[in-house]
Amino acid sequence: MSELRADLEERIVEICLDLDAEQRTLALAQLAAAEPAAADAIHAFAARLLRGAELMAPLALPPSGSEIRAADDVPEWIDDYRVIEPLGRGGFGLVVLAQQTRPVERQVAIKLLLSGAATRRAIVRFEAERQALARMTHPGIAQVFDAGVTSDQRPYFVMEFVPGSAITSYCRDQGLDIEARLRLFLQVCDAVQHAHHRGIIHRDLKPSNVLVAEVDGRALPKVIDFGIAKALDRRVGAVGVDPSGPDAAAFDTLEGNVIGSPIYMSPEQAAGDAAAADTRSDVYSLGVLLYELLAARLPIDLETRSPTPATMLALYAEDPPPPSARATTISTRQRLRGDLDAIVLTAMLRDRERRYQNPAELAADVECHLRGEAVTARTATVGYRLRKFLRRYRLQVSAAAVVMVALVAGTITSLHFERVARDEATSASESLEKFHLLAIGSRLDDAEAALEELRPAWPRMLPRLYEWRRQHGEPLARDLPRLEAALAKLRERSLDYTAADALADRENHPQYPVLQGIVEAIEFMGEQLREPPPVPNWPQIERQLRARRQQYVERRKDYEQHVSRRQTWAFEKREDRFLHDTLMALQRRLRTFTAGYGSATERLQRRIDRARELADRIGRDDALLWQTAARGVAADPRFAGLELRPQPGLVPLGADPESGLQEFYHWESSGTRRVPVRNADGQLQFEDKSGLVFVLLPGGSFWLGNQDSDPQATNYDVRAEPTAGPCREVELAPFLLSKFEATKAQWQALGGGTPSERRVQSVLVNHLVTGRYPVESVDWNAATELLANYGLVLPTEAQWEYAMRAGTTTIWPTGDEPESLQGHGNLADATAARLKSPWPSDSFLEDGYGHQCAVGRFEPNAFGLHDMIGNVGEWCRDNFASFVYRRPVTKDDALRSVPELGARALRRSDFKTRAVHTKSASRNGAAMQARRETIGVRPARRLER
Amino acid sequence: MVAERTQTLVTAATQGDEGALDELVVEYLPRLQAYVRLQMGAALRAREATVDVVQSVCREVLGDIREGFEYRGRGPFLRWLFTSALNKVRDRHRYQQAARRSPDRERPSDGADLPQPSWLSPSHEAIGKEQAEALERAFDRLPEHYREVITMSRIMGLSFAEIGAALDRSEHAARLLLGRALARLAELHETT
Repeated sequence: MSELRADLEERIVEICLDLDAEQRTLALAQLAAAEPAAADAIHAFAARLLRGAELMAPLALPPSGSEIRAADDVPEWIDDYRVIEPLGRGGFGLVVLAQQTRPVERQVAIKLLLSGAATRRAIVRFEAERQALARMTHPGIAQVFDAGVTSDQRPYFVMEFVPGSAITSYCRDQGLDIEARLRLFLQVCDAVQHAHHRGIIHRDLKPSNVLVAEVDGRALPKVIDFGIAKALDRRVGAVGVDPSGPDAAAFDTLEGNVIGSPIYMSPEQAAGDAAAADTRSDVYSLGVLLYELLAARLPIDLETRSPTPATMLALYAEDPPPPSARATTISTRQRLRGDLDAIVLTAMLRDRERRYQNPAELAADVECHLRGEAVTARTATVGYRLRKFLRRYRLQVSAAAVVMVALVAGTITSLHFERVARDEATSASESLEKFHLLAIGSRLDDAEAALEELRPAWPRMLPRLYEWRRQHGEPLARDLPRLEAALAKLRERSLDYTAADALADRENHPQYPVLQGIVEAIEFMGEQLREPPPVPNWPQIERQLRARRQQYVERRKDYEQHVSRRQTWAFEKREDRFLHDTLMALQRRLRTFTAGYGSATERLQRRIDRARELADRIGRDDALLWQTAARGVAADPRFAGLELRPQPGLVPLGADPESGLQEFYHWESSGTRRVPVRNADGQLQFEDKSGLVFVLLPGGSFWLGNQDSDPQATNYDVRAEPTAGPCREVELAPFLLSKFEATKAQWQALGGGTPSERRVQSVLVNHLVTGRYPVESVDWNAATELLANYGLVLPTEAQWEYAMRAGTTTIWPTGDEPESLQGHGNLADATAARLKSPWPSDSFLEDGYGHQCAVGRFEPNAFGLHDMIGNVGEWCRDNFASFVYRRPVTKDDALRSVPELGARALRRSDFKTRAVHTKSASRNGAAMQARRETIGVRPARRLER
Repeated sequence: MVAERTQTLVTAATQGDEGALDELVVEYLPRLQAYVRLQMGAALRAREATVDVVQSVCREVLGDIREGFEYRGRGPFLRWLFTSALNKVRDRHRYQQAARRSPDRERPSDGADLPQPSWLSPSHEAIGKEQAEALERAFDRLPEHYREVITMSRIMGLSFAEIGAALDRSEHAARLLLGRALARLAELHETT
């Protein structure tokens, strides 16, 4: 390296830092060829440099998705095209948006390649296909207009500019459901089919090559880069290497020498059979694309973002998991299971003969699915799997088939038929039994998923809970002995259990170390007894020691029995071993499913018990209270004749003397089950572990948001934040909202644990934190999940603001001046400043708290709600994004939601908030995963009608 | 485009948009963590807890832009962000040491010890603890100017033009410096 000339060093640095992998390999090879004396040094230096870059790369992960390096090599003009801005950077070079002036004025996208002999040849190849490309006129295909070479020898392609985003991001950002995604995908298939009809294969289909633009409000997918992949394919003769010649192999091993994005690439392309790519290769890529659209994930997790073709080949060795197995939500998993799984897997089959033969076939199956008709993929796959299974176990296929046909047909008339069936009944029924047992796995999945749906455990859920037991719980429990019998039978065929096997089983047993400890303890005590230590009261100690030793000896027997139990079985035939291991894994799953704490059976029983208890309370214990509450609501004009029905899980507490609104106790969130009582003034008396109290709010219409345009109109604020609008009238149905922020004790009672940053019993400034302090550091997902168990929800932003305003239209609920907040909530005030808190504060407010405080320390608002102002911020159910806020809302609760967007609305009025950010209309948001000590939860509940 | 996006986010965040602030945190947190770890040196790094502090510091530093921040381009913004984060971590570290000496002192916390949420992908998760440590040891042995250029390019994500401007060198020289630095890093990594 020291002998490396400075100019060579500079050249290597340029090559390594500025070129992509492909270009780099080539350029280095050329440089080394030109300087044969320094060839080794060149490669050594380059390798070290690249290794250094590689070492540093993961440190800064993840750089944002499509990061573009600083635009230090973007030219201002590319021939006659004026560059407007860079759009992205791909494996081959740079893509820019440019203005074309002749012959027509239009904006185009230009793919500018890095210079090099191979890329110039690409132009030649492109020219050859130009006629065919020009014949493609499909709204779903972006046209390729032109190609050329710049004055500094960089080839480029000029394409139709598509102002859109990659299909996957589009679906995510728009929150499209599965059906909408399928319809979009059908359009893509149609476009690709159009090209295939004209003899053009894409070869590099992937999300970034399928852009979705909105035209007249309709989503229009457009496939870009048609013809480019082929032009760039330098496998065949690209740099003068004869593909069949001796140099070909060496060339092939060069890094990054395969066109296309590996994960979307069909096995035949990855195997280097690029010339053989045909329509079915595109079908494969479409299959991967559909996979990603449906499961929102790729079939595999990639360790690096650019796996080599060799890695890919290794991955193809196994069948990809069905999309349903990779989907992240239960509802999606259920939706994908069956048809859609089968369609995707058929498109992605390794053997291209068995794939859909063209995009049209794939599209046809998707359409069948959308119409609710049988899909060909599924029937083909089931049959295929059956055949494969039978072949694998070398069972008597004929017998099994006969019995099956007989079962389906339902008629065994022929004597001959009957005899055949009887003769071979044993093996046939054996095979059917195996089918049945192996299906337990997916039945367990289904049962678990179905049980998840049965929330909350309210009386009306009882029939469905019983139905689940009948349909899933009991049949599966009955299958356990069957499974165990099958295992026992199979084990009769197992190989001898040798002493070595037994020893290995023993030592691998999870309890083995415990046994070892016991043995050592016994030995130690034995030594002590044999050689008593010189202590004065030895006889007494000796007695104790003997008794203890005896206990240990007993325990050793128990453990010995446990640990010596046989764990492994060996078989002569691989089929047997496979079947045995599968059944054993199923046995383990089935056991934890049917018995023990946390098993599905036990969880079901708990829910049934709870639902029954709720029904009892409503019907018997609390019936009178409910009648009184209903009369109170009926007499209140604010509720416009609402008929209040008993609400499961709540106990009426009567009306608040100030607000006149009915309040209810949620006893499941209480650690004590004691219902709070009102004192002589009608004020509720709480303990540390008291549960949630819900206030029934009348709803109706109110003005949401602030506006800064019309001082005469309602909700005027000359300094309205841009996010606080548009101001508009919103209609809300009556709903229940918690009187306080949920407390730490309540969260624990509900089963949410103790996520809070500030724990109960810890010291905070000069207070001891109690269970009545608000729960915080709860992320949006955790809150939503936990509340759902009890039929609770987060309030929508509209509901929250309605509750905050409590009838007011002023800037702050307390008036139009920030000073009016004094005494109404725990904000960033003079106390915080005195305590030298690092966050900014308002010196004109003084609330006495420098950090969070127990709930209910400040005056309630007109609805009887505490701490709407200050203390901790509160999550809302809506998304937080300006375009979402402008959307129409759902009826009743005025929700705006695009479930797949990450940010959620947060009404951030907390102990770190200054007056200016705690207006009634102040809005904020945070990532769903955000956990902060300033974010808490105020649960809401829909009114059961 | 990255520059534009950064500017948009910073501007939105100065106006109190928590969502924008979150996005900035998500985008820069891994880089900031890597940066702080590399700049802290082995002694401080040994205290694993320090890494957890970075998240809250990052949010805090970014939070400061709400109090009025003048955006003068991506390069200066990133340099400001990274150096303030490092300073704050050092301050925090000193504070923790002081607090350890007088445990009865209680001060309102600003979330210094927030547990690391799972959406982060710190370098340790990405490449494994041992590898990360080996890399950090190699990095510590690099000459100062090599450490500087690698940090600017690979961690802060500055362009060669921006690095050149910061180091008072030409863009070309910045590129060459980085190349040599990376090669040296690989060499040290092998022998460490």
